[in-house]
Amino acid sequence: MDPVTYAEFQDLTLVHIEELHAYAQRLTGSRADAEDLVHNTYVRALRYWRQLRDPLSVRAWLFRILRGVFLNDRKRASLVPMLELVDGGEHLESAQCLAQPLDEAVLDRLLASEVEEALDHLPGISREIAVLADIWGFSYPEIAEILGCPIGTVRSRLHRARVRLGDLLESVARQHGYSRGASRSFQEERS
Amino acid sequence: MSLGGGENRELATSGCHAFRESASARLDGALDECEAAALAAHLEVCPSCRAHSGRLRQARAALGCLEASAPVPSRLRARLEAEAAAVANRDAASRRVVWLAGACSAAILAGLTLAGVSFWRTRDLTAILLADHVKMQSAKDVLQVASAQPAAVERWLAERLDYDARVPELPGARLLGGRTCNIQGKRVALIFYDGGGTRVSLFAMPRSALWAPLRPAEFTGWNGGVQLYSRADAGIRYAAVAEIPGPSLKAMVLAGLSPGRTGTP
Repeated sequence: MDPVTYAEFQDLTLVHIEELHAYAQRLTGSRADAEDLVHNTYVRALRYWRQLRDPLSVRAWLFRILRGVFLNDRKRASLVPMLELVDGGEHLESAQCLAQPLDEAVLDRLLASEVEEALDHLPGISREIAVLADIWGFSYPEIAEILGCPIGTVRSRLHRARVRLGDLLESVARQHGYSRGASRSFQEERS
Repeated sequence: MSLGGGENRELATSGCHAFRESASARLDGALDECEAAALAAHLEVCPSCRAHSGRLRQARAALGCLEASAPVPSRLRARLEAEAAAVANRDAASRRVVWLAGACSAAILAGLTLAGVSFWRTRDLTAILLADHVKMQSAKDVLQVASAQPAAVERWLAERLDYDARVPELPGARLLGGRTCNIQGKRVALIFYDGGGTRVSLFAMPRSALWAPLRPAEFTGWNGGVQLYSRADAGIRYAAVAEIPGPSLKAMVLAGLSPGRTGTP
């Protein structure tokens, strides 16, 4: 594969800035911090632009850099503990075996902010995998590359995240009075 | 792989957990043919897993409704493009240095000097000034001298520069102070103003030190709204950079440099 020229690199990267900005906002939770994060990411990408061999991987490459810069900043600031990827230890609740799909109309009524509310309750790494897969549509290998974890972990964690998110969406829908049958608890269903 | 008949039905209904994970992977197109066939067979006979599969699909769809992109403010875009321009300049310079190192021999040292001149000429001074302006916007403690008095800033600069840089009063802008910076290996003056909440950077550089002239046009537009206006005055090239409309910036500089005096754009 021919190496990417600098001009091509600029074209390839700048088209992803808006996506990177959204990812940065999601990670930092702050518009100002997100701008700085995107800027620092781009500076870093420019420094290592020759390392990009495959133009098709540029998007995941940028996301990986952004996440790395974010974690480094947080580590330096010692604001919160670093995210850790711990595999195993999570088991699907037996209640989920009885879970039914949510009413489509209920889902349609959920606002983005309410989906965000549910998403906030997912454990850190599961949330990261879920958003990378389902918001940005990254493949398992790409997510593994971005997060630095095995592909098998991405697959199993994503499954768990979706299961948990289904429960959380149901709970949010119930809280907002959208869901009718969902008002029954799992225990009631089982009995 | 084909599963069918009573013998395989038992196999198909076993291990729901594994099939549920496969149901999730199927949504992402991550199953191979065998896994997909096994899952399809299992779902036919397992209503619980069918429901589970539907629930996974819904969770995925809910996230798919969230925003995948966020508008990039013009200020940020300008910062990024300025960084890209600065890297391009450094890159061109590096390539030139490598080329020079390979091509020149000790016998043509005089030619090397000329090549050095050529090296600097290739750099786009406009991009450098815009990049420096943007960089100073986000940097902390950029002022080396803080004063609203032009004479005080001029005195401070005079002690550090080998030429006289005038500190003009720009109408509609408040003098903040200044600093020195290196442009093409020459220490020059950089004066800062507050133009109604917008930082105005005014570079004052001796014309004799500039190998690469600014672009001949008086204005140089820049994506994101950062404008540059340059004008020579009494042997000094002044270049104002700010995120304000070009005509306003030009009027501000011309008024500050007293257009009655002789000057060449």
